[in-house]
Amino acid sequence: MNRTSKRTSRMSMRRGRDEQQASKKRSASLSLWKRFSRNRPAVVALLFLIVLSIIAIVADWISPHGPMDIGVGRPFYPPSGSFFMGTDDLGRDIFSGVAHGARISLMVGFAAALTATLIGVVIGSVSGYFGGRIDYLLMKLCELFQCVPRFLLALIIVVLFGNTIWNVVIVIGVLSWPRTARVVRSQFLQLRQEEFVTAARAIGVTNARIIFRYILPNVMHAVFVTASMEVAAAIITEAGLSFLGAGDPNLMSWGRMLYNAQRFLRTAWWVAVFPGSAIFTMVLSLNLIGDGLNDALNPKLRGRRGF
Amino acid sequence: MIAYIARRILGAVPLIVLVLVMNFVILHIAPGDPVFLFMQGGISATEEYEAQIRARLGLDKSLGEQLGIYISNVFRGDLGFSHYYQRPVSALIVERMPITLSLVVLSFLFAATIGIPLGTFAARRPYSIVDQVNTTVAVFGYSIPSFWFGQLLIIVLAIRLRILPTGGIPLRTLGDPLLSWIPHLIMPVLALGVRQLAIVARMTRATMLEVLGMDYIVQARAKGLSESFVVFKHALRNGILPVITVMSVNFAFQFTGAMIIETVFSWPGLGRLMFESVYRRDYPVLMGLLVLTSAGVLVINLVTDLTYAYLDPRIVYE
Repeated sequence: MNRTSKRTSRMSMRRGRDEQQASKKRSASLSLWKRFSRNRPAVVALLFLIVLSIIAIVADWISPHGPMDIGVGRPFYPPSGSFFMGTDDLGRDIFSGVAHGARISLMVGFAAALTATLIGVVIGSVSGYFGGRIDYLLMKLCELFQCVPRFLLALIIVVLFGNTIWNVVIVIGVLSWPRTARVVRSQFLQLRQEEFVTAARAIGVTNARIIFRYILPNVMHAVFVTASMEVAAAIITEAGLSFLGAGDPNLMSWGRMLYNAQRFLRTAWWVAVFPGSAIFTMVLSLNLIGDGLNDALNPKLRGRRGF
Repeated sequence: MIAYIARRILGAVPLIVLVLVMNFVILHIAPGDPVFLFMQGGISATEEYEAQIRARLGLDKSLGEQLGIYISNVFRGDLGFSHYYQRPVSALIVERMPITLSLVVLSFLFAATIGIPLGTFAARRPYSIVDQVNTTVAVFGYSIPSFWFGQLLIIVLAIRLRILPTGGIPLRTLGDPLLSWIPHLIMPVLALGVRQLAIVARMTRATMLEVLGMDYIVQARAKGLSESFVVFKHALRNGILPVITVMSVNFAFQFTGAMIIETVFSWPGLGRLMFESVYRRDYPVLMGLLVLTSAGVLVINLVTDLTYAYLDPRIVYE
């Protein structure tokens, strides 16, 4: 076991204990919401996320123009009544692009985080539950993935294998699981020694059932916290890829708009400012929600982790 | 100690081999053929010529053979030959490395020199104004995409206020004083360092809050030591360990972040080399960059563990 995993396991020891206590309560989810709602920044962030999701859903109706439509206005039309976020070099409406970009960001963010979480949960629980040789091998695999520069590899793969949105999702998902795996593993290391697991084993419950029905539900809280952070990380990664011109050429994403804006910083600030603000708001909201969840799950640690 | 270091380095060898195999396989199952690079420019190449190029690049051998040759070459310090530049990959990387690495190192320095004191003061007085500044920096700095922050800096500082150059880096000549570099460095370092600053400030506050509540700190205060001595000598020494871990964990992230920032400020570093090589399918260069970054991560991990032993005498490596 290396230094990082020791650290996470120490941190999650605390987390694990608190969670068990919390899960003993009947109305665990209700009190969780109560504690979460006391964290004002997190609640505001949740509202922002909801608004952004609604914009993503209704993008087609609220956009005055298609996101890729050229020449709907004069090029570099500054923000005003008819184009309230202005237009870019080809006379495309920035607002329509930002609204449609929300779709890409949310889609990539959640799909990639889901992929990463699924892989991470399976590898982490198998690793932590069985221990021994399997654990050693899986943790070596984890180490391998963690020492490879994620963004660099993602860029290379996306460019070489074709820059479709699904490739972006798969690449980010497959390269991002180690963090979740480590968190889940350390939780399993704790919980597999609990009496309810021993009891389950004694009455002959299968390993798979113990992992997924007995232990995993107790770990899900921690999984949600890391998952919310993974969504934010995936959104930034996608934006970074598109910013380097490796995004899906058929879709208008926020990163792509910034890639386009790079050449016109001197002429038109609005081409960069609005899509960037959108990424920033989205990522900020997700991180604040993650922190709020974390505080709500670990009341004792409240304020200890920073915000 | 030396035995420990040797063991760690030996332990890293299989990991590096695995990194090599993984990257090699990914690059070679990718659609597209590097030979077409030589077929451009309207020359209708004969099959003979194509085979000749294949042989010259070593692409005529089987994949397994190519992999074996590559791995043995890497361990002899030979990263191969760039298809495009017709020069050794190691030379190309060494040429551009100082630019990217200085950006990374400076961004870490920036994060540490501001983040550690800020986090410490915030932990000394929780919920004070300093603490709120700390929290704000931590929240915003962590969420802002570095390349967009770079663009904002260019718009505000370079284009509106005209106090800094928009980008580029003057290639240093002998008579050029180092001082003339500084204006060019400010914005890239700020853009790259702000996320690191957020992480460091947040970590420092959290660990210092924990450390300052410990019995040995109460005892040190009771002994009548000055407050600054207690905080900076006794507490910070322990409180800084997790901060160092986090910074080392973020090395690879910061390194690739530097490559993106180079694009924003048009610096001729590794970022541009990587970027151009991806589109040119210059596999040897890409492999070299991936391998070096991975090896760099392993080295940084080792250095971090050794720093631990230095800062905390209770940690002994045998």
